[in-house]
Amino acid sequence: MSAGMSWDAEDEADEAASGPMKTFFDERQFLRRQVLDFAFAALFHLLERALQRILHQADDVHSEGVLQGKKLRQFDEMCRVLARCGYDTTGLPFARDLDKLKLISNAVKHGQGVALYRLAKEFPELFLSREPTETLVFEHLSLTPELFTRLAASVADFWDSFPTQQPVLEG
Amino acid sequence: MADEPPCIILTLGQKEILTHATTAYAKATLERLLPALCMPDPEAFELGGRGTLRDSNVGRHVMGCRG
Repeated sequence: MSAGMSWDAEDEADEAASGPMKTFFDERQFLRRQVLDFAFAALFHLLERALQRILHQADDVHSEGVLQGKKLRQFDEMCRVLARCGYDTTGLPFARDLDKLKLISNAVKHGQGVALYRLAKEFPELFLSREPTETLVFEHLSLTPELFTRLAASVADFWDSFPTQQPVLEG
Repeated sequence: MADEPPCIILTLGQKEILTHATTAYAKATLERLLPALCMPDPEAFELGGRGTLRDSNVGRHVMGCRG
């Protein structure tokens, strides 16, 4: 407070309000970040779940000829099974984006860990700059709505490129 | 001789549903969910100044964010 200015009840109320206000803004910032981060994880979850169901259904139809008794645990395994069954996504334009989405999803779900380090190594452009000696933490990961749009388009491309049953022509 | 692995194919309908669901989820997240959490500028509330945070202020600002 400057010299000569009186400190009144309104000033006191403002000071009392500034703490909760800062907390409010910090929480909103945190909430928005969490929602965006988990949107990536949910996008990947929807892809993985749908693919898993398709493979299990095909396995039932083909008398376990698809999974051959193996359990499906990871997305990479699912892609390998899919490649063996006629849809090899290796090298397709969206493949690297799916790998990126998988690592983002794991980093969001598990925080500090292997996925975060792999993500930083393979996709350093997703991280805020830091000093070489600074320890990598989850907060360095900077996800954007633009990236979400792009990865969602890649997931849509994955489905769109899936081999399709040809319609039976009459005559 | 090992059995040939079966081909996995989708019907056009399945493919359309999966593609549409992905696009719809992305659209809803970007156009509804994230804008609803639009971060008001603390300056707009004169943080720490005479203006104090009121629900009506926040509501108005968030509505503004929906653009």
